[in-house]
Amino acid sequence: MSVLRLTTATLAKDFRLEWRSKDALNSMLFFALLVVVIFSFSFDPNAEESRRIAGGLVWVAFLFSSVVALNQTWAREVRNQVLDAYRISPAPSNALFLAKVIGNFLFVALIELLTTPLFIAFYKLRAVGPAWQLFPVAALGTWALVVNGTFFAAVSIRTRSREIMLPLLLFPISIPAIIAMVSATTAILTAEYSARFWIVLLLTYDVIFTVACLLLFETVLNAE
Amino acid sequence: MNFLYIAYAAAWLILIGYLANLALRYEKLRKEINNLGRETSLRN
Amino acid sequence: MKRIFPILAVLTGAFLSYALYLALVVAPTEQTMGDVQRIFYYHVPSAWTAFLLFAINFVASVVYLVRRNPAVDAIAVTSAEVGVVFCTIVLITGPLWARPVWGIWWTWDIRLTSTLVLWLMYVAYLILRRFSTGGQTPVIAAAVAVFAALDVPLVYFSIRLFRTQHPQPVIGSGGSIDPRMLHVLLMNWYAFLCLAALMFWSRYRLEILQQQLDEAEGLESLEMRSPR
Repeated sequence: MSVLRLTTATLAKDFRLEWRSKDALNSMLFFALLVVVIFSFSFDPNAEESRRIAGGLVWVAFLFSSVVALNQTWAREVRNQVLDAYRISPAPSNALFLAKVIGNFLFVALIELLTTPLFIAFYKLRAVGPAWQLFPVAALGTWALVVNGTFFAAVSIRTRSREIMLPLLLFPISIPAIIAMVSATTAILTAEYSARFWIVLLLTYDVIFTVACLLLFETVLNAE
Repeated sequence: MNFLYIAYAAAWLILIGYLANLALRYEKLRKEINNLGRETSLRN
Repeated sequence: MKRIFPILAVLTGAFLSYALYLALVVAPTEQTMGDVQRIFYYHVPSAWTAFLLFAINFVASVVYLVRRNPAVDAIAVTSAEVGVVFCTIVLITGPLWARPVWGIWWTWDIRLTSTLVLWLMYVAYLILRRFSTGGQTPVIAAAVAVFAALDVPLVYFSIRLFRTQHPQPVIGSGGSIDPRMLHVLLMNWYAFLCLAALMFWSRYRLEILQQQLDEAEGLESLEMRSPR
């Protein structure tokens, strides 16, 4: 079977499982909602200030929510020995990895779509710059978090305290991506400078780490 | 001037701390090796 | 080999004392910053040593992924650990220098921030090695080390856009450093390198012994389980 067909098959399996239980989706949505509400209690800025800080707040909220999602990526597979089966099967492991990344991406993107209106309402946000640029920034930023997050989740399931290991690995490596996402979002909201440089940086980050993940995933999966 | 001495003292404290940590780990390892040796000799 | 180690340790100690004397007494006092500038003779050599060790860690990790040689993995973990020690010195002496000179402890300047991120990544690497169990540790640690190294240029570029406050590099780019200061700096760096090499050696031996012990213990438990 081709990589594409394997990827779609794994993706469909994950979605079917998620659709039946809706465990992760419900808990994630509620978690993201809580983050938004708590943030709005912690900061009570006026419209001008909120434009400056919203980029950081939004992305920190998404970062924490995505860690919750990413931690669950491999939990089910480990419980049911799917990974062992995958190691034995001749299927390319990158198909499994891609399916997981795309699944997480769609998942986190859905959460972002549902919580962004809340942010806009609570912080009375209005973009002064070109608002359409927020879409590429969101897509590239989410991909940056999710591609490394899925990889490091696969690394941290091999350790003793897996839940805490993922953010310990993911956050330091993601620092350039987080700087780029936050700066790009702030640039668009305040229109004080151009977001183009940051979007290019995010794109570079995504390309470099997607390639690195695809090259190293098989090694990590088969690590004895 | 004080900052200079604090900085040098901090640097040395860290280096000596690490060396002490290494020494402790050597000690622990030696104990483990001795234990292993005793177990094998007991069984033989 | 075992008898050389104490001799080398004494020599390194003497060299470090001489370098300390050079830094505190011989080096000329800087005109604008005063004596506080002497932190430079510890700050910069530590930084160079740390970066060198992190570079060794990257090379060793790549080689490990290709060759799967346990000795190379020992080099990787050793260089990361000793590198974190020297990087910690950089991060502590840096603010102690910045406070009297700039009036602030910390600024989100490019080199300060990149060094902090580097430190965070290698501490995470060491925590991963501690938490991970069994024979997979070297492989996943090597993968994470490669990711950390790939991240370094991106960290640098992402912070570069912010205004940089750090004194410009004094070496290389036509620096205007006093030759006497340069001499003291290089002497201190060589002394730090000697110390780092000694630390590296003893940490490496510890790792190799640990590997051998683990192997012997594994054999032991196998023998105990097998019927006699």
